[in-house]
Amino acid sequence: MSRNLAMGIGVVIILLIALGAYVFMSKPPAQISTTSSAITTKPPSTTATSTSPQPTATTSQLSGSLTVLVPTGDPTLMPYVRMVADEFTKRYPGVKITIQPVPFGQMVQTALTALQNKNPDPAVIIFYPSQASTLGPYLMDLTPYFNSGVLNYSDLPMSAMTAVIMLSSDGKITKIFGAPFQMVFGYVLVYRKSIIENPSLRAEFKQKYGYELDPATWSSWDQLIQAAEFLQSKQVAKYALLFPDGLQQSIFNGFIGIFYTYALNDPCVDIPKFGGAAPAQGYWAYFKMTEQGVNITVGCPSFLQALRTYKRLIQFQPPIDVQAMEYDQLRDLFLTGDYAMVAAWTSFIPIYNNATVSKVAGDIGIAPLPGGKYPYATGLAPTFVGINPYTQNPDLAARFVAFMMSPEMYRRGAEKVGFVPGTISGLRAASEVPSMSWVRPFIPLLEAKISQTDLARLTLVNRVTNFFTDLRPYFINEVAKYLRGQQDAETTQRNIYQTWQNIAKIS
Amino acid sequence: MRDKQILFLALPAILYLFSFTTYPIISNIVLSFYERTYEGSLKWVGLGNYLWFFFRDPYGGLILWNTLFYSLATPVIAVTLALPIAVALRRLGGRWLVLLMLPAFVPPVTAAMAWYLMLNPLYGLGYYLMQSGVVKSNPLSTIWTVVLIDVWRALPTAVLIIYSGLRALPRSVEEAAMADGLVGVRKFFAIDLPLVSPHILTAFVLTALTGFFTFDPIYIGTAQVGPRLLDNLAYYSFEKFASGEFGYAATLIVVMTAVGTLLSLAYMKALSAKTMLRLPGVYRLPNREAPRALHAAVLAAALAFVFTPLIWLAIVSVKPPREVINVPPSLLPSRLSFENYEAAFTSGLPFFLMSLYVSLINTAVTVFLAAAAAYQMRVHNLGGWPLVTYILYLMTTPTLLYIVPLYLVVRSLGVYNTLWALVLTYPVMTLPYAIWILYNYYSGFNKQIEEAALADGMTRVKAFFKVVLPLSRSGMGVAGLYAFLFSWGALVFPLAFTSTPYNLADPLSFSGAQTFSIYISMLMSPVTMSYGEVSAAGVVSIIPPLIYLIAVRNHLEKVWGAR
Repeated sequence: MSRNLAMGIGVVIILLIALGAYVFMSKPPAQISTTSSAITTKPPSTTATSTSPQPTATTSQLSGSLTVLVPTGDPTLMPYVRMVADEFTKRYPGVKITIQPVPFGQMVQTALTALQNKNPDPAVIIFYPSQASTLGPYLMDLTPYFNSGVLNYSDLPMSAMTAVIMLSSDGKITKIFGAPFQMVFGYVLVYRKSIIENPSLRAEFKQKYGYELDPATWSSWDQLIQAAEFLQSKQVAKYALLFPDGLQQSIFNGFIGIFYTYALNDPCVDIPKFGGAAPAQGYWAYFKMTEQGVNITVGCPSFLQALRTYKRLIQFQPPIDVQAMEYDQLRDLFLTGDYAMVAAWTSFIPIYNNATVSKVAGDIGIAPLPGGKYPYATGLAPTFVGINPYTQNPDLAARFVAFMMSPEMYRRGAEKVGFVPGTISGLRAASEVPSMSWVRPFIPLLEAKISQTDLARLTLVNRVTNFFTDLRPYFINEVAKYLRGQQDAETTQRNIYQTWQNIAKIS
Repeated sequence: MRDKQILFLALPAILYLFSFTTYPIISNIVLSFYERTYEGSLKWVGLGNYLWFFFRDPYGGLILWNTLFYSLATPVIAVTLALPIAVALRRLGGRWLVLLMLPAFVPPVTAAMAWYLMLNPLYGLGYYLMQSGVVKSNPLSTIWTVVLIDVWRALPTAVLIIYSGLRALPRSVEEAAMADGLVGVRKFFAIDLPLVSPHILTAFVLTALTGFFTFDPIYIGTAQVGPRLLDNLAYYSFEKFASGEFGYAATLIVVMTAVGTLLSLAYMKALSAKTMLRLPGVYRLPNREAPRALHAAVLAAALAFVFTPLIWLAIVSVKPPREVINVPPSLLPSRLSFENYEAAFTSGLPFFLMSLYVSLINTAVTVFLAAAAAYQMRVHNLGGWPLVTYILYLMTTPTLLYIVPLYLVVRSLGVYNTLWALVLTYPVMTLPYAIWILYNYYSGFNKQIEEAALADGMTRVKAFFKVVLPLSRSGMGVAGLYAFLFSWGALVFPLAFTSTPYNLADPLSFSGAQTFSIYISMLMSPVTMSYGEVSAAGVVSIIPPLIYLIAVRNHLEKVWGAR
């Protein structure tokens, strides 16, 4: 009996091995072929690929069904997509739209599964910059829709586009796999108007420091820090400033803004400028191409300056050892009224203004960081929309995306749910809504142009395939050691530089 | 003919286990030689992933160290605590055991969440620990918090095994010790401890496995410490899997399989251990009974350790939402509020239902398949020792080992993100345990019952269903409880094989299959963090296992020896 069983089991194992090997060898992930034709930063020229259908449908023909994959967590994203979907189906009764919510943490896996399996659904996929490099190879090239005018390329902020553009080795655009349709600005300075706009405090501050206690007029980190010191000394709130130093993500996205403001004047980093304006800050600033190959700018002097400033910025809140300030702390602690100012994402503004949970509702003002005069620390964190190349109706998906990005919908979204648009015209339309007028100072960040030659530099970070998975964790932990006083700034800089050089995988 | 019927009964479970465990193990090895390229294809890299992990990954060494640290610190602390608790139980009575066993019935993600809420430095008791100077820094920012949660979860197992060992000491030994005038502390160290040392070793290895499998406390807590710093091989491989790096994830799993196999061998060795521990100098210890009050104090401390995080969880769950994030935190709510429960029931309902479906289906499937296989294995010696060894090996391998290949299988079958993906894969983690429980249960089963049924003209298959199964209710109840607990608390498989909540608009499609564990972990993520709602969800998550526990308590207490 045992012998027979053993033989049976042996046969089964051999069959399984063979089956496993067959399944594995015959199922490599789908690869999307890419175009080799060049596209300028103007509306892109024609291109054709196997997964890039030519737009054919006219609006009168629209019918069919669409599933839209939407990450949860953002308080305005889902309501906006629902609102647009309702409006779209009202206008085109032959269209059915299903919204598929997905938690942020499972976003990549869900989208990848559908795309690698060539599933037709979800047809429209919404994703974030950190997910772009993973999903990019599988998403549809939107170039034909830009060429045909279904999507308006010139209305898109180029600084935000770098995460969704693929370049060939000679620097030409080979694929654009997403469009920024929602904009989150971060970090911005959110402050309590009852404190910052207090006339006697303003007069005293002006007398002491010689400039206004007005974040819209500040031009440097030193001015922000002096203001925080002043407010702390006046004990107008328990803590003067809440600044991101969280250990999961916010050290990484908090630091880049500080670094960028110093890097603008650091020839070692060599930030490109076009028409006198620099692109919006981004992780791209950590890499540049030289004749010797890819150079990591972490070794530059401005990195050291930024580290020291960062440490000064977090001195007005509970120490990092007591509570590191991650996304949820930045969102929740300011609600308590214990803080005078917070460096926050603009997506928090509706929560800060929600009187049922917030003690600071109706009492907040917003300014860029480090101040309104030089707003370069505030970056763009766009939410992208892409199309599944295997969807049964790509034209319908593109029409829906275009509708979602129309100034009309954007304006309505701003009015109804406080949605911040991702296009230049959309942001202008939103800024006309009284409750959204705070977006005005940020419009110039979207308008910055990028030259064709700088695109290679700005997309270089996309080619560092382990940037988010390996380089980011190491960075966060080393900077956290510095903020805790466990190592000095020079050691921190050296460790990050050497390790990044050692582990960066550049494709 | 009869032999074929024996094989027929056992074959479904055995075939399932072999196909769903050997293929993944082999597939992991193959995948570990590939990596994903920028363009999304797989590229052969030979030993590149292994070399990367051991020589270039800045956290490779730390992750290996953490894996070993959890695997050692957890059993050392759990067994050290379990010994005096087991002794106190023997002295004060086994009726307290069921309360001490509570952590074993709390889903792992709820356990981790309860501790993290309690130790939170702003909104939890952690605030008072820091204010009073008991701890100097954020209690959540240390690797010891993970160990603490592991110990909390592992302690019941350790207490149960050691307590069972103490109860099983032969009366003759007790009498001989008494005749020699040995009592109390001296008797414990001179007689009891050496005799229960095999049980201690078993408890050590089993709790080491809890430490080795650690996943949920890291998943919940990593945001407080820093990326990678808490990671062990299990969690790190999941992270790589979730970011689409299947090759590297498979590499880590292969390394984990190697470490796990060593632990499995240790476990099997422990099961067959005959050697008794002998301590030097025990005759210098006091030869008198420890006061009963001391035993009571030990038991009270153990119960406080077990219940404090759960009580805090319940308190937070009934605080008004705005009060939940008050600094300093109030110890009691200003008024009872059930808003958190409303929110948890409203948004958590699809997750709750899916957990219930999959737990009930998997429990039924597991118990049925396991009973059919275990009976043949024990009573008819099907498969002999090699099959038993294989089952024991599977019990000691982490489920994470299977996720990459099973994910590919689930995907290719087109059942990803459906109930069927979970129904298909859950028995991988529950079947080995259920077979082992029932294998032991059938050791005392009277074989003549089946023979009598055969003599009455029944076929062996009919005899099994008509006679053996009805008489196995007690063992099946206990095996079912463990299957239910595993299914209800599972996090890794649902994270890997599902992506959206159960679609209640089309309930019969059974598509969208995220479970309640995912719901809780989602509420704990920084982006969607909601302390009140997650605590209410945590309380809710404990209720179904407790109902099951109450239903089979009598069977269980017999197995535990609490009666």
